[in-house]
Amino acid sequence: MEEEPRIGVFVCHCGLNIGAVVDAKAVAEYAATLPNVIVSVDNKYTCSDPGQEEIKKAVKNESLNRVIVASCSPRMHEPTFRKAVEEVGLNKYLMEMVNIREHVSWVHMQEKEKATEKAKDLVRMAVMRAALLQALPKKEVTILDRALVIGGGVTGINAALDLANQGFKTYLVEKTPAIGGYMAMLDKTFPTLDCSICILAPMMVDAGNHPNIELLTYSEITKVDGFVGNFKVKVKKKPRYVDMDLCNGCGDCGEVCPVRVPNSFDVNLGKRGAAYVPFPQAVPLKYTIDSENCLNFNYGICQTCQKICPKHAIDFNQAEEEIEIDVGTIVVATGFETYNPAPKREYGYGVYNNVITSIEFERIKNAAGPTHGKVLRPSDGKEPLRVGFIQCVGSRDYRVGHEYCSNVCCMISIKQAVQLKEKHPKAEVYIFAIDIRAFGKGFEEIYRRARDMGVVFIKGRAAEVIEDPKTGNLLVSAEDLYVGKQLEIELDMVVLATALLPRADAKELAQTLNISLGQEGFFLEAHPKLRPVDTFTDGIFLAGASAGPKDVPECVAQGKAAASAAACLMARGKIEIEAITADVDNELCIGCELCTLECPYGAIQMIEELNKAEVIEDVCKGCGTCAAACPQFAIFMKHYTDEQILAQVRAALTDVKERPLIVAFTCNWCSYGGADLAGISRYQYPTNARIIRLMCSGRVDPTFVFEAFKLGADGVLVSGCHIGDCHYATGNYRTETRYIAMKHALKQAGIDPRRLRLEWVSASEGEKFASVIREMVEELEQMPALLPKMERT
Amino acid sequence: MTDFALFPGCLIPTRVPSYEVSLRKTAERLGVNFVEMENLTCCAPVGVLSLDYLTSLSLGARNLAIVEEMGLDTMCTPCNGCFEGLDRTATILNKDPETLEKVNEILAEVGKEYNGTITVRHLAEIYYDDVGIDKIKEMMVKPLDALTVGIRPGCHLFRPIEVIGIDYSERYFFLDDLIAATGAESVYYKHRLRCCGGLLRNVSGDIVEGILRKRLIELKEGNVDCVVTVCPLCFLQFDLGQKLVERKFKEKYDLPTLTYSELLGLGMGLSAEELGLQTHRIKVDKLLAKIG
Amino acid sequence: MSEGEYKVPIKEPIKTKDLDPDFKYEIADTYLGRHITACFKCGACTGGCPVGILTEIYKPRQIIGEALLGMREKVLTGGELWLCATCYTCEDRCPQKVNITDVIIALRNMAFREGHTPEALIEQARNMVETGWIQKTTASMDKRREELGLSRLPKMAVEDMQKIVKATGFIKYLYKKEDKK
Repeated sequence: MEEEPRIGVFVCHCGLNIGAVVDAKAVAEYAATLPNVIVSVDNKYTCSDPGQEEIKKAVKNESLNRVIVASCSPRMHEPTFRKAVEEVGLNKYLMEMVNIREHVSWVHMQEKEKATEKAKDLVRMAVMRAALLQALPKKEVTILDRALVIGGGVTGINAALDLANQGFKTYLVEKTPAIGGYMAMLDKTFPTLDCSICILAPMMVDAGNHPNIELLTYSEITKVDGFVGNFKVKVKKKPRYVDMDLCNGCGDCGEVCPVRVPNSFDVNLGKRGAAYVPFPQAVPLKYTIDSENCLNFNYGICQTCQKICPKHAIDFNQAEEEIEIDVGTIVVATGFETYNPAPKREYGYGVYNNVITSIEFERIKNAAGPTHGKVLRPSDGKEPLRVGFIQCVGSRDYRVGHEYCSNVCCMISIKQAVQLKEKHPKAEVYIFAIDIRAFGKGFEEIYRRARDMGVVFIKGRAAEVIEDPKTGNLLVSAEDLYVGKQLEIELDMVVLATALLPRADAKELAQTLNISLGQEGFFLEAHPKLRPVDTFTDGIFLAGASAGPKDVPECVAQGKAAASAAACLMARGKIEIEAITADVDNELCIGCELCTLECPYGAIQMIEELNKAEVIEDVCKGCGTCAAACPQFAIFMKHYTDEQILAQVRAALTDVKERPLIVAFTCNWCSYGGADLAGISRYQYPTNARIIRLMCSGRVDPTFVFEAFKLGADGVLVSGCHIGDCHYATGNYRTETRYIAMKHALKQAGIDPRRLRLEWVSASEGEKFASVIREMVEELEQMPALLPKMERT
Repeated sequence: MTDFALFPGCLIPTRVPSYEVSLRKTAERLGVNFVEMENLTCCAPVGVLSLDYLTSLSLGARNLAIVEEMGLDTMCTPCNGCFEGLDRTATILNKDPETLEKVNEILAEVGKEYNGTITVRHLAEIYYDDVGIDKIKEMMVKPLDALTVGIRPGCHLFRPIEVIGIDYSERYFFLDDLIAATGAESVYYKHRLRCCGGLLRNVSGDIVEGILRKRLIELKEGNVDCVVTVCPLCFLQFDLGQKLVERKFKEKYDLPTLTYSELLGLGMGLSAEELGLQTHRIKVDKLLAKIG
Repeated sequence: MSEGEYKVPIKEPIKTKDLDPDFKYEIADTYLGRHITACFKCGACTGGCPVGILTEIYKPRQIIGEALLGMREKVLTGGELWLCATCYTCEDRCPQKVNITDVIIALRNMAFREGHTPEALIEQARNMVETGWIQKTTASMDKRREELGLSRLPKMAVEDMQKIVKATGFIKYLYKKEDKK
């Protein structure tokens, strides 16, 4: 293994993406002067077939044993180049990437010279690291052929059916007593005006009857352990107080129940008993007793339902149950919730009875809804013949913190307007919209249809709604930009087209599953374009509105896509996983047990008789926080060894041409991704940072930081996932603890502790990453230069 | 309760002296202690801000610096214009050291320095937060239960929200609670938080009177006995301005207008004479008769 | 033109040469105008504007739109700017958090420096600089105060005021050359 490193460096122009800013040729020429570099060339597109061919040829002809590709982010093409080098017999861990696109050319577009210098520095760091890289053996795991789908809406139902139809046993977990989700609440679907429940119900029944699907309704995920192919999932089954096997859904219990409470399925407009099914077509058609409102649970009286049930299915002693299931893959399809517009006080929701939301209107006009399909306004039960729709309530609104467009509301309101006009051609219907977004198949057509029916479109965001207390009528103020005039329109009822929000418990579920949330709080896909149903956690897939607002066909497509992605894994039966794990050097270990406390997974145990630590390789996830904690440098972190990282630090600080110089340690999952996103979004920031990628910010050994300062770094940035979002559960808590200690040590060494900064940057915070660097450079420029001779204390 | 540096502004002392009388008399009874400020300049409100941002901040900061010199930390003003102008100045300067430095360079010309420590509060806030509804109720000797009141808070009491530091300005209003504390009823009428147009007085009489007339009609439709405000400019609009609207449109509204402290004074048993209500253009006799 | 024909005002479209593409950046560079570029012209500001409801000529959305287009001349000299009553209702409702009233004030600052301010406001400011009071004061005011048991009007720090307006450069724009003393 001790052969002399022979390194090939391949610098990519990426067309003009890199080439227009970074002088790739100069970078390649520079690389040729570095130690151990045998070959150094620049290509137009390294990822293209000829580009890959060139690498392979060079490996063969020049007997290269290390390959460096300076191009885009490894998050983009690491698999491509790893595969290429493997094809010519090189271990894939001997290929190193340098990110000169997302981290250089896209973020320093106006500073070509400095950007080129930075690219050279990054290549030098990679060359020094590459010389120390080691081949690692392949690591494979088997994939269980069982899947879990979380969320029983139209997305989850489709995912579960597709998985089940391919022969995989599938658990479908739904929080409420019945599957169907929001789609089951809708009256009609746009743009075709299909009856929602009519098209959904057969699918619900299929899912309920499928031999490969196990429905777990009224259930929640509480814990997920394990990794791709082998997840151990704990599911809490809430007590229904009805024996699912005995209940035949006859409804006698619901009929005799004396309690009447708002039915959340009717957005609390209608009432149900404490013994209930949320809606008549519910799957499973099994009753549930809501203990919060049931007289038996509150006062120990009544029990009428129990007496009347012909199947003796009611069991007030049922207890909560927790089951554990083992699955190979997970599909997350938990959907969305709707915005409560009360904080938009200018519209008076919750103050004026006749101001309602889209989903409330959907229930009101639904034949199965609280008014049996008669559109009646809440204040006096009169039929409203003048109705206004106000768009973008809670969407595209920085005041309430939802900057995105909710995608579906324009079409929902147009659909609802058309339905009103169908019933009453002479009804006056207004839609107040900033602009109508009709981008999907059949959308423009229904928009035209609405206009042909006489729906009036006001171009402008409604400014306010005022009620006439005597009549309950509403006055909407708005400017119509088409005619350039202010309007005050009197209406009988106003429908607010409310935003689609991430579910309130999305954050909690993201932590349980170890997946990321985007800035808006929806689950984050691994790549916004190319990996729309993948997450950064292998084996866990996303679908539907849980990743952002979507309409029904998109949700169905995503449910099916996620099922297919999960099936691909399970069909293969095996998957190669990263061989990045920790190893303990027995000679150096002193048995202090610190690492066992550090490990978020309990993957390190003590060998009693030797008093030495030992890593359980199958449990180790490779974050490296143990290595950072080990006072003896006895933990060898594969692919991220102390020596490899220190080589990068030292290379960054040799021949420094730019001040202030910042060494930035980022975790692979959040902050490196955040820096990538800054690139993708072209957020510009100064060229002063040299990024070193680690698996977790918990890997940052104080030694790395002190070495950087010792060698003359002006600043050090440590950046990781936000607290609670760590890919390794609690790795970043360790980071924080070490950060405080390091600050203290720096102060004692006479180094301004502000030079060390800890920032949580998620993969969706490109702008934040850019501004952190901007701020840091600004602050460091204010400080007197730090002498590189500072001794470590 | 802390002592407050009183910044009366210019409108109240010159044009609405009865507001000054009532605020001093009610404050004394409620245990609010004012310390007089001296050697002031104009607060430099929106009218000056509209011409020059830095001048407005600098003049404002000079006044705030005087409060610091007095050893106090809170300035109280009964005028909405002063409140917005000075609160804006304080909000910006207390948070933004760069602008503060720029302003202090200018203040150096007059030998002053502002350190960014002053909070600016409106009289109404102090009555509501520091004195409290209970204390006000306690001091009422004359029931005003017969009165229905339309409030005119004055825009700058609650906008811009980012300067005032509140979530949202629509609908709920603490002034309603202050009115209720006197026994009178604050009536919800259309557009009660909409602008009266007062600040356009020098720019366009047509617009000012047009807006004011709309507000007067809405108040009439709300069947109120009187208008109550905490803003001297609103007061001038609904008192003197009302006369102008009546003349221009040949209409009669006859809506007496009181400042909140005048209403409070009446409830505390002070006479109309003592409160200087005879200086109002719209006579308050009917109102007094209703109270009895 | 024959009897009974429509009288139609003839116009040219606004052309590129009429637009100043830097105007928006100039505004965005000021503290008060910094959010102008976020505007997506939804009209929520204008729909609830108490002035806009009364007159065709004042529409905050239009002023912002014209400024973003670069209609420098029209925006700064047109006079519409000065019709804002500064009630800040629009700011409160702007979904993009454009501080509309502040932007208008930033534009007023520019218009002022270029000599396009309603005379009444200049008068008011001069009064402030000369007497310390933005409102004109009269002897009868003191008399009325005395009748009400109040002290005389306080003395204002006129000298300080003048030093400050000199230091900020305000005074330069307040007086035209000929009437400078």
